[in-house]
Amino acid sequence: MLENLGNIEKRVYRAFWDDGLLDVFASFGVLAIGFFWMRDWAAAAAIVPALLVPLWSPTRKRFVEPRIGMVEFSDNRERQNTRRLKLVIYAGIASLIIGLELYFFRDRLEVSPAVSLIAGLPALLLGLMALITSFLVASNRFLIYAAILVFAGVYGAMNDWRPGPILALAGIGMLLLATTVMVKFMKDNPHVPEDIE
Amino acid sequence: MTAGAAITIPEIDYLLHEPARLRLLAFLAVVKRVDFTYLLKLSGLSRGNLSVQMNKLADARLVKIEKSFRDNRPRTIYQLTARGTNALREYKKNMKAILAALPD
Repeated sequence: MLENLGNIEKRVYRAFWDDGLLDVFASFGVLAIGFFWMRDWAAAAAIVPALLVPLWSPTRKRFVEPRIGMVEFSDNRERQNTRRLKLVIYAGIASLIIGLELYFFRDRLEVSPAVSLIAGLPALLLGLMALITSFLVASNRFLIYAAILVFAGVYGAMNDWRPGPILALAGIGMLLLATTVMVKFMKDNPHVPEDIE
Repeated sequence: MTAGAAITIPEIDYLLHEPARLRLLAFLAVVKRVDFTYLLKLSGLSRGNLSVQMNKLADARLVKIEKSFRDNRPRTIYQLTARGTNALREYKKNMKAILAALPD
């Protein structure tokens, strides 16, 4: 393949994620997990990512492609994406399970200062996921989502909140930003009636 | 060099040398397939200009065009051909040679 075109590919790839759809999915996921946890359906929270993943492609085709069109990246990039997305999803599920375990068995832990932070642990772990995602999709917005999750985790734990409300608070904050990004994208990219020349 | 001898410089493919077409080929070189709308946004060209340039590239068989319908919407998908990749590589090699020969 041609050399020195990597920068163009990176720019095109970064622009691919600027529609805000991933932001909305991630923030909706965090909000749903928080909601389930608040209703004591914590186990259901663990399947939220698995429910959202199959919706990704049809939603993108329905809302994003009529506005900015379709692009398929090289096989290498697609393989790398699939690998990375799987990694993020598995790590997200693992983070939630670890958070759940620690939260429900917190009374057995004997390190009292740590115990007070355990309620914020799921949000902190998801904050770490957001940090990793920011590198994967080359988007600084996910650094902000990471900061929101960390802030909610620390603030909620210090005020003796349960994990559910902490995640719901973070989810609402993230969803506000994500919606702003998506609305801006839709405003900047009106629906193209037909793509024929 | 003897006086009056012809100076040979690498041949430049004028089909690729036109800035808009070169930009379009550079985009196509880094992705697998792309549709008209995406290319329109990416290139910043007008619809008419994009269409003209892509048809020229397709006529030279540097780009493959697939026309189809999805959800009752016509869709045109472009893909760089092997010939297009080679042409771009050759263009780059020749331009490099010319630029290297220029004085600073």
